Amino acid sequence: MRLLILAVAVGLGLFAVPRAAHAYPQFQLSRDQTCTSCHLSPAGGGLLSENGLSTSETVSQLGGAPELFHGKLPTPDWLVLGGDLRGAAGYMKTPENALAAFPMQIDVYAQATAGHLSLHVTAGPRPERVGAGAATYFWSREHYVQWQQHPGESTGLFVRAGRFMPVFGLRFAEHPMYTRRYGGTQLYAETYGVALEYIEPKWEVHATGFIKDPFIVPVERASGGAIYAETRLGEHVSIGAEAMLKDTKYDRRWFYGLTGKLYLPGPDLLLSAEGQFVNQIIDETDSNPAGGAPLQIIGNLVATKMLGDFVMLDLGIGHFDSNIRIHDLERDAVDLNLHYFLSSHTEIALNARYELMALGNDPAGAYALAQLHYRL
Amino acid sequence: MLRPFLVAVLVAGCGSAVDDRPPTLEYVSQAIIAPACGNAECHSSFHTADGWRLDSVAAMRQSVSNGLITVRNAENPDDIESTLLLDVLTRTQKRMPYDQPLPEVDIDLIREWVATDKVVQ
Repeated sequence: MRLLILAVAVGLGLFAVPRAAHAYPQFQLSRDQTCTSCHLSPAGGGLLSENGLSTSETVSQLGGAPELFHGKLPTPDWLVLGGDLRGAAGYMKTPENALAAFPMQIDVYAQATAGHLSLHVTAGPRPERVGAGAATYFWSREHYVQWQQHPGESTGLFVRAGRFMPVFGLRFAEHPMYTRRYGGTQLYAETYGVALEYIEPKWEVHATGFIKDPFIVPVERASGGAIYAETRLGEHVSIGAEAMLKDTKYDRRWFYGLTGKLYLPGPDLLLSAEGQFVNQIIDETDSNPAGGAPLQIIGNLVATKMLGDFVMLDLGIGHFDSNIRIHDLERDAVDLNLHYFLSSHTEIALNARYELMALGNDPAGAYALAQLHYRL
Repeated sequence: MLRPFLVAVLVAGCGSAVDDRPPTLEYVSQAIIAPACGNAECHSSFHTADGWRLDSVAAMRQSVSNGLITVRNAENPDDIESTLLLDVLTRTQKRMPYDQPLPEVDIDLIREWVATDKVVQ
């Protein structure tokens, strides 16, 4: 078996680019009721609220001042700054075996607030567009204006307009998870839109209309809409429903899905599940008179166990069938993520996956990556 | 609106052994290659890894014009395995897609399309 070493694989398009990561939805229900309990954004992820900063301190082994640069760079009350730096290195089976190291995420965040209005910006380097040179080295993934009914609180009505990722489903941080990669919220799927979102401790609903980015060559090439609603049945159970339409020049994809979470306080175990059904309708044209309508099924089931106060273990399975009418198009994956929260700013993680295709009949893929995450 | 879902429920787990999907550029692009190869970090128009864009029908047409399915065996114009696309999808080293190789059933459909639309110089 040949081992191919791709040390710091700059220039290898797949590995050498930053990859954004988001919040950990595993904390919802197991530690608090809503994403906005810890994050400033109604979608979760990015900048932390005071409660989020406090949580980052209490769930870490060494703790430490959780504020920006350990509190050494105070900002006025109307301005919140932050950032995430992530890098990863490890083994990939693609299906040949390789060692790789690459930056995952270099993002800085800013939120400026005036009364009910706030401006949010996420900026950082991006994978450059080959041939477009320096013009595409940096970008702002997210920038939006938000009106919040109750400024400084985690509930109520939120209205956002600008560039962001529509809220859809459980929103795991790991973008290779099937419900993200194939389920409508793939990496860099942020685009321009307007969102109306209402969040209460017992329920929340997010409705977003979006368009293809008219300013840059985007990853998300569709216009459409998404809606996600979730209700929490007691303190430890939630169920959600989701639907999304993505309309491009060549096809339309309808996504329908259900989500569920069950937290068992005794063993401190959280079960999270999301299932989606996708109906893709490929346009009929003169050169493709039959069109096409592959029906797809996507699912993820994740069990999350807190091991002590500062280690979180995920064990998940995923299933993706890209056309349920045809044999041997299934993909099945087992995911293992281990998160060690060293300090209020530093996390060490292990992300591992083993994937089977066509129930083992075709070449498999796998990876095991160690990840270092520093929150500014 | 519910009909596709009911069909899905009925056929889930008992897929057909007969692949009746259309072997056309449009179908192969939108159903197979764009989702597998046209990701943000790879052959999207956003990144254009190695100069190839595979994330839409228009991008695929441009890539075909740029040699994606041009037969590279001057002695055998029917040697579709020599095309860049089938070469990278089937070779044992540096096989594409790097992260998630395609199922053989999808490669067979791509092979059927390439046999029809191949470019012979």
